[in-house]
Amino acid sequence: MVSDKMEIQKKIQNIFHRAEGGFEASPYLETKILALFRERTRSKKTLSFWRRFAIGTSVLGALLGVGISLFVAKTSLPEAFVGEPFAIRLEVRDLKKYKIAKAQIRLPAGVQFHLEDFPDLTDKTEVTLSWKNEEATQFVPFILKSDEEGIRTLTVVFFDDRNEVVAEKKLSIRLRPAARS
Amino acid sequence: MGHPQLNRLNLPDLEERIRGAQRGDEIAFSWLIAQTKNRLTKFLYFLSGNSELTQDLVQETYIYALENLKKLKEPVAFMRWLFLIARNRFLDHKKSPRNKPHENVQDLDRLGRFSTLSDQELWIQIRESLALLKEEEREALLLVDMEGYSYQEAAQMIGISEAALTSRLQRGRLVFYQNFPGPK
Repeated sequence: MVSDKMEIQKKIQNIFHRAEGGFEASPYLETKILALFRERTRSKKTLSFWRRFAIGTSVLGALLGVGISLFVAKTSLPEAFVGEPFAIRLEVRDLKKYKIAKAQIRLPAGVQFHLEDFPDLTDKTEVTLSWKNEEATQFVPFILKSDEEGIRTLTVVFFDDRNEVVAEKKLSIRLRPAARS
Repeated sequence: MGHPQLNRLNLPDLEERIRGAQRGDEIAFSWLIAQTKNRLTKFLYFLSGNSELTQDLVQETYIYALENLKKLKEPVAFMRWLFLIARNRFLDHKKSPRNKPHENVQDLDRLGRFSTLSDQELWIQIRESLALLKEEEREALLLVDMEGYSYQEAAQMIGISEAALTSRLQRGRLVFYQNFPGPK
């Protein structure tokens, strides 16, 4: 009986052994895997940036938020200085009813993202963040910088999980010359 | 008679390649994938019985391995570690409604190239015999009789006792052998 079991085991192993050769997986698999891996690494970097952003700007944003609200009372437009980074807190409390999946920030000419840790994003005029409604805060924070005076309007477009636009918010900022020392 | 050390990659400079990959060397990544993809694909195909699912599982396994390669302390255990990841990825998909009752040789084309039609037919025969086993028996059979892991190693990988593994193997071997349609 034991020898029968051993015999069956040997024959099964021989069957698998026969299946060893004669097969070659796709020659493109390495390239595909590496491309997917690079994409995931890049996405994680961006996600990590936005998390740090939110932490970093929650303090900075709180300070500037006070400043902006003061300016709003006088001039009706938030103000910032040319050449100096400024934080934006875009209120999104009223959007909770939408199932927002993405928020696309579109910058006007002359305005850049100010990102010391991710300089390759600085020259982008459009950045998209994934947005989960259950994680939604009351505001979208980001830091910008401009080297030009004047009024600039940025747009944030919100998409649902079917990639359809559900809302759009515009924010105009007055950029004033830097204070002379 | 068994598979001589098939569960270990007896290749020169494996440790150096893995260390390189752990440092982010993409050429080393590519080399590791090239050396293991045939065996991994075969394992996952016979485990899942579904060529479409196999494609996804192979990708997920390698991505997970690349992302976690720094956690591998013993480069010599790379293949075993890779198979453990593959098994876990399969278990995550267990509830997927993609188990097909039947596959034919054309379905295998999506996995790669076979030298002959009879090689493809052999894979289909093995797949159909394995499909009659319980999943736990199939897994045991593949790890021990196909991949050559010892009873102790396979039991550790699955997380069961050697006695439980032996029991699964005995049942699985009998059903597989009795139902295998090809030459034995």
